[in-house]
Amino acid sequence: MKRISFAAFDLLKEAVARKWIVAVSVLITLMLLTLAFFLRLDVVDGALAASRFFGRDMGSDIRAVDIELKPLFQAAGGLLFYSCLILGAFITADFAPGLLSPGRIEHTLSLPVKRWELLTGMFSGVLILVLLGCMYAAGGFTVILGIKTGYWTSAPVVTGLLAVAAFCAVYGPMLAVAVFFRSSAVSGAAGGLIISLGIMASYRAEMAGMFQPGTGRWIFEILTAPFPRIVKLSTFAMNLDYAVSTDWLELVRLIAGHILFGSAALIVGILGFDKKDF
Amino acid sequence: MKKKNVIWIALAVLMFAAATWLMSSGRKAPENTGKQISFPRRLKPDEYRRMKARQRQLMLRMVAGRSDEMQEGSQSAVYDPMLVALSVSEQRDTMLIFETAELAGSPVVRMLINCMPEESVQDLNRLKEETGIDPFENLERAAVTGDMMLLEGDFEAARWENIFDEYKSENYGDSGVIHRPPGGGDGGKATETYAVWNNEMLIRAQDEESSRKVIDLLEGREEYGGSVFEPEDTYGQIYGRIAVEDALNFFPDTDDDMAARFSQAVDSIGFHLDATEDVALVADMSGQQPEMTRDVASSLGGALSLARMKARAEGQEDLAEFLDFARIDPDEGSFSMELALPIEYIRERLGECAGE
Repeated sequence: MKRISFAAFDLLKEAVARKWIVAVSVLITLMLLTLAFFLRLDVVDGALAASRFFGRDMGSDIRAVDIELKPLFQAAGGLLFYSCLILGAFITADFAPGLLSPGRIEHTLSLPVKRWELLTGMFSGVLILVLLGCMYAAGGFTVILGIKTGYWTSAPVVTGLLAVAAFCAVYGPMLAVAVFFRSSAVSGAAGGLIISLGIMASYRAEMAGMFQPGTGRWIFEILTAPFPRIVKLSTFAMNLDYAVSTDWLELVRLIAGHILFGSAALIVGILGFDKKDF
Repeated sequence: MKKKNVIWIALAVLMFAAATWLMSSGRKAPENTGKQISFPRRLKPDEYRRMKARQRQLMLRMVAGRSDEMQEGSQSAVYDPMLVALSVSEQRDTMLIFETAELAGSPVVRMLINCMPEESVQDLNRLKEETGIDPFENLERAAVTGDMMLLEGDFEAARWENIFDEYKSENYGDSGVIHRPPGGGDGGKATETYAVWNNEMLIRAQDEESSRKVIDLLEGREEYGGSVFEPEDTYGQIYGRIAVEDALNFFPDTDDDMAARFSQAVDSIGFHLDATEDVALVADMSGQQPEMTRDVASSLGGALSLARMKARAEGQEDLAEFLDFARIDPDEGSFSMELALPIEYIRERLGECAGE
């Protein structure tokens, strides 16, 4: 465990030095500051009476603040979830290939750390990095709107956690591919492919109907079955606080499925890593 | 192949299989958007057709100068007889019109009928047999004001002799019949008079004069001063207007300060209730002082929000769910309030008797 933590910490140190991480942090900070300084919300007895953004009237309905802000929370949830997946895949694509690059990997392997520990540490490090980013954005959003309206909800933070679970399913294959190809482009492409297949898998029942019953449909169903249900999880993430009755069992199954998918891909990466002769 | 590798491969395959199983439940994710309620804001195509179907050629005697289009003297044009008849009422600050035929067919009323106790069903059947009027078949529309009630429908089969057996009846005008109460007007006895016009409208008025006035108006012998309710505003299944003091009576717990401010700021309350699917209410309130009206709108929005929070905190989920759809839409010198009860909510509360 200690050696896995060491490998994760090593990756985080590497990440801090990347300009992309700084750029994304600045971007999130700017978005939060914009919300903090330019969003004016007039709340009377728990009802949102007026809202202005950059001085522009954003609608004049007067109703309970949580109901009026529901679309804003849903939009923010969707933005957070998909930004986490897409930006996460883009930014972290070169971490593993960099750490596995010739010259560097030999040095790392000379340290008292096993190969599976090294890869698991890298995997954990990336997830911690994405988790920190999500919590910064979601937490900041929650605090700003909470202070402005008096309405406090954990929904954005939970959305961030679900986004990390989904990213787990994306980064596992990215890391496995990086072991075999040691290319950030190929690793990033694998992430993009998993996101695309994950969206497709979310609609597999509807898409299967487009195939004639028989072998073609059967093959399609078999091929798309293992991929993460990204859209389904994002729908939960965006409606968690608002659904009349959340299907908690289904949500737990989805989270567990995404984490297992990512972990299984990590094991494939570990197998490949073991066979590599550095 | 090394044994260790076999274990790793088996573990990976097992995990992929487990992930596939976990994610393939086929159960649906929650809806992306919340329940959408259709609030009555204007005539829907069906309601426009309904409005047009009710208008017919009537020869009315116009009062001069009410509007540019109206000229003094008898004038034949298309009118809705019930809206014409309502102009006789002198206490019409509160005026409710019920589209009874449509209400009878609405999901919420059907559920309520299904849940009616057997005794009430028997009473209803007895009423139908005795009067010859089936409230669900023959009644089209009902209107109530402070001093008058009108029922409109097909009363050809009505047994008036049973309904008014103790009343003195006499024909009046071309198509009217007046039913006077026994000893009406003498010594403080009841003066409420009933009149039937053209076997399609039953009028209950405070006195005989008002009943005659309605028939005279519809048959062109009484001066018509113009409609008190525009045909274009006849949308929804219950609509009309409520006097501010009557509206406050519906909310006895309203604090005095709020009630006083509301009375000062709001002059009139028009409302429309749609029950074609969910039960959705829009109340339009207007006043002469825009700032005060805006202030009352904000306070009312806050009061609704506080009531919702209080209901939630006290575990009154019924009330909280009802208030979830509460919304105030302020405008210059007026504002409207939306309230709704989703049909699923009503079905759930009524229980099994409501059916599917």
